[in-house]
Amino acid sequence: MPIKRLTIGLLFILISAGLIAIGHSSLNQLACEGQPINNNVEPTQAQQILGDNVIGQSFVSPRDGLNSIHIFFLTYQRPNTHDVTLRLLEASPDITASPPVEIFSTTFNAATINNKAWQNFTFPEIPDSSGKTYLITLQSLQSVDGNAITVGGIERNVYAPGSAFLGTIPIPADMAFRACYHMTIAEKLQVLSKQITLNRPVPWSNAIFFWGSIAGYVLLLIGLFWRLIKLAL
Amino acid sequence: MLFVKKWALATRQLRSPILESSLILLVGLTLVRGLIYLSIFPPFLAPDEPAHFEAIRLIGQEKKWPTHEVYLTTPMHPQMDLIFRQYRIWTLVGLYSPRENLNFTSNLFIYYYPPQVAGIAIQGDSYLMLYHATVAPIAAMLASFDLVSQIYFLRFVSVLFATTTVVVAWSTIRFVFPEQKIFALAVTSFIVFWPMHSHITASINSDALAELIASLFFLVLVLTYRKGITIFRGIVLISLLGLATFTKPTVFFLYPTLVAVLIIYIGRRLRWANIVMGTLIAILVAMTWIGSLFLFENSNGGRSLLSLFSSPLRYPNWSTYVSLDALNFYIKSLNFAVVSFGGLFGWSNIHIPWMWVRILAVVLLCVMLGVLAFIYQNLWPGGTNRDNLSRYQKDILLIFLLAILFSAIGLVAPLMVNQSPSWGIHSRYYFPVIIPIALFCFLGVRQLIPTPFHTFLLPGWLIGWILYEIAIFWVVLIPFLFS
Repeated sequence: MPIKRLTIGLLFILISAGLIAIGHSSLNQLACEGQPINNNVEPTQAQQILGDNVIGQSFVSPRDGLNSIHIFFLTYQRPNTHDVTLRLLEASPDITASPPVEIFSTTFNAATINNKAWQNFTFPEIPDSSGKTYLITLQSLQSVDGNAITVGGIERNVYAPGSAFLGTIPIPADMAFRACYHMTIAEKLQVLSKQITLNRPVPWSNAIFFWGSIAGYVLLLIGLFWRLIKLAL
Repeated sequence: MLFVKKWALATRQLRSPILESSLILLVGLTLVRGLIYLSIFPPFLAPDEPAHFEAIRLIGQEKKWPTHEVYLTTPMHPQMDLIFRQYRIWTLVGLYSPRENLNFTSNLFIYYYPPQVAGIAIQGDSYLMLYHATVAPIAAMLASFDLVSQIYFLRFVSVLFATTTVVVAWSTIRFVFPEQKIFALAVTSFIVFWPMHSHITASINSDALAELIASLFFLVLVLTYRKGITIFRGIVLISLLGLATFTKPTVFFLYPTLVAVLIIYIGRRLRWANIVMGTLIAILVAMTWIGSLFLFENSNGGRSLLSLFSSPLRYPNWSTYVSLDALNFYIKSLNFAVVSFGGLFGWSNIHIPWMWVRILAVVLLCVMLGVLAFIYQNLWPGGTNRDNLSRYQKDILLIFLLAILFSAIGLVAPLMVNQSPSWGIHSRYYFPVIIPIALFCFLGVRQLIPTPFHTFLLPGWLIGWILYEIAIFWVVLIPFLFS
């Protein structure tokens, strides 16, 4: 009996650890805004980030507390070894009107990037980011043809508040990116509730329906495990 | 009604209070999960959902059989394009709106959805329409609702099909393994918590009905095999086969499965040698394989079954099946199959991270080795029968194994014939064998775990599924759909 109880305890710890890991990963992505779609399945060589090719994406921050950016990278399924520099610049609404101001810059090696995967860049929170226009740029002076990465995205201007850039020229496309904000868990869930109920008919337009369903799901799961414990003991 | 009474009578002796309440909880979980999945996915963001919906709507609300001519003359639902734009469906699937790149200006569905996805409208003159005809009266009742509500309610019908499948799966396994309490729980929890199953069975699609019909067939089959054939059971089996024929080609494997059952049943009664029975089954497998190739060569992958005899017979092109390009294609298809098992949502464009796919491939390989070890020890002639299975249980497991094999032939044959990724092995195509697959997966995992730890196998199995499902929901789906 003690071994059984011990094992059940271990399983409980396993569940908790799993849920914490999932919760951590999920909270990092919740209430982020941007353009998550990548249909750049077979990127061309012309899309490589190398030399003077600067690839960028502008966006308007919907709220204060901007503190991280997620970008979807593609590696052409090969090892790439050169450094890439990411910059976050604050720009005027008309980006070409005045030179943007650098807010954050970081350099990473292309070898650390996974193919078709999101990469997170965290920086000190910008408390007054709401309504401001930002520009993400990626450049790699050392990269050469055959040893360079690129970004995922969509060859359409689907993200209305911003656009992709090649150098300083806007192009009708959008990078796959997310901008994330410093928020409490409750605030994040509130944003999710708004997103999930947008344009939905009754009863789906009410967040209580979704959270009630999830609460019911959790209760049923607890009931099932309670039965299982009784069965095991 | 008579069947339900007999079934209730037969299950009475198998009852256990804790197990029965677990079934109620699992049924509740299926319903709640179905509600959650059908709600979070925007309308039409499920495989072929626009085409299935439009066919159902034409039958139920327009009172027209959806032939090619009807699609050419009947306007699509007036809110369809609006909903596509409002929920950014074309963007979410990475495609252009037909208004942008096809100059779509008419209001005909046949020029809206099928050309953009390089697919077809579901046409009643060539497609199997049982599901659409079954659901059409409900669509008729929903005609006054807005389009999104109609979609959600029709999705819920699929959830009800899936819930019935859970009960059927439970009963089937309890009949076969009345002593091993955990088998029924393990199999049903596989069905309840498999994320792809939750997604597809919470969408407008014929897969949920196909799965239910096949599962009912298995239930009646195990009953019949155990208690003997009666006129009533025979009629039910034949009726289910008939329904399967008009539902989806993925259920056609029931035909060779029934033949295999007859071979095994007669073989046992007449005490045939294993070699005789094995040879007959091998011939059946070969004939099914060749027959499938013929079928898919001549019926657009089984979809145009009703027009099968209206055109000259085409023979399989054997040389193209085994070329180097073909082998390369099969490997890619296998990779796709793993992704589709793990999680390939929406219009097959929302997938789990590639790292997860690799881990999953390793896990599935281990499970498969476990299954092989189980078969060798318990089912193979001369095996040690480590699990002390009865002759009845062994026969049912053999029948389940053959059902999986016949279903796999039905999935691989169109791939071989078409050599096109559009015929990839989507997980929903093998939902009709979900009971045998779930059972063998569990037995495979069980085989890998040392016997002293078997007590904790079920909690571990459940925790694994639940954590996986929660991870899919919160790490893959929610960030994609709502960021």
